[in-house]
Amino acid sequence: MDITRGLIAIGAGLAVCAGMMTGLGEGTCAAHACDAIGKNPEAESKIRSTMILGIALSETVAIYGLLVSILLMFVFN
Amino acid sequence: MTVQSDVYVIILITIILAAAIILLSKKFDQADPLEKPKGILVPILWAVQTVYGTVKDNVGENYAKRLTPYVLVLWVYIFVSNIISLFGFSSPTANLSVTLLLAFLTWLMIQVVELKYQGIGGYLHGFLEPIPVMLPMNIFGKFSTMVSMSLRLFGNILCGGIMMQLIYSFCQFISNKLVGLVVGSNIQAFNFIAPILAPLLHAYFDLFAGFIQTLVFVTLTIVLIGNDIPEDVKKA
Repeated sequence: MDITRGLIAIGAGLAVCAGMMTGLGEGTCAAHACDAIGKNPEAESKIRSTMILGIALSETVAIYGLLVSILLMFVFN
Repeated sequence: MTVQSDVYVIILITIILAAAIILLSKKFDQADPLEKPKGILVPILWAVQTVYGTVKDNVGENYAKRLTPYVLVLWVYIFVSNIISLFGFSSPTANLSVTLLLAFLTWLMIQVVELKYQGIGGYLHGFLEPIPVMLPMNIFGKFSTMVSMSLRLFGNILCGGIMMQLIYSFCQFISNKLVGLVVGSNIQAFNFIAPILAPLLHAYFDLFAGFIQTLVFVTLTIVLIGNDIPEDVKKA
């Protein structure tokens, strides 16, 4: 019984690792948006909404990892 | 049957916001449109104009007047729900039912706009693009908007709450150990580290993350609805 709970805890921790690469990708996205605004300041509002769309879509992966982790912690415990 | 404590907070916030909106709209009705607005009306007019401008950029003049009230309600409701945890309540947006409903409304609007501009034939044909084998993926893809929008808000706000709880219990642990070193026994000490550490983190997890998530949800709503409206309708 005890080893099961330990394995669940390890699994929950591993599931959150989905956020690692997502953070990198979102940072890259924001950096390129900054570049684009610097080159083309009058298109700022369009760039901002596109950036938020891209960041939000890539963030989904991290959110799913979080969801798996929460399910492991509270449902299977 | 037991009622979750979240439900009371949801009802409380809904009643307070509804009362505030009704009172303010009464004030707007009484104000003279030819005179300069004053008092509380100035920031609200500014907010309405800013949101209207953003909506108009994305969905065009035809739909902006009809979409702006929904977007404003989303702004106020989600932002107040996110920062209510500062006052010791549990956030309504940390409850999947609330965020799923909000995402469902947005998703329904997207489907209605798609049906209107692609027709039923075009809408159904969209499931077979680019090749008919993609049908199951396309069906899941239609629903993924709703699921990911609701889970994004829910996950972020819930995580903020869990992080704050972890930090509070960690501060409690450290204070117990520090007092135990002095007194020399295991006692339940006053949590004196939390008042120093917590306000900064509350500002980040509740205020900043709450604001950013509201902005993301609202922007996604506007952009996704605007994507399905053809350019010539937006220009007209």
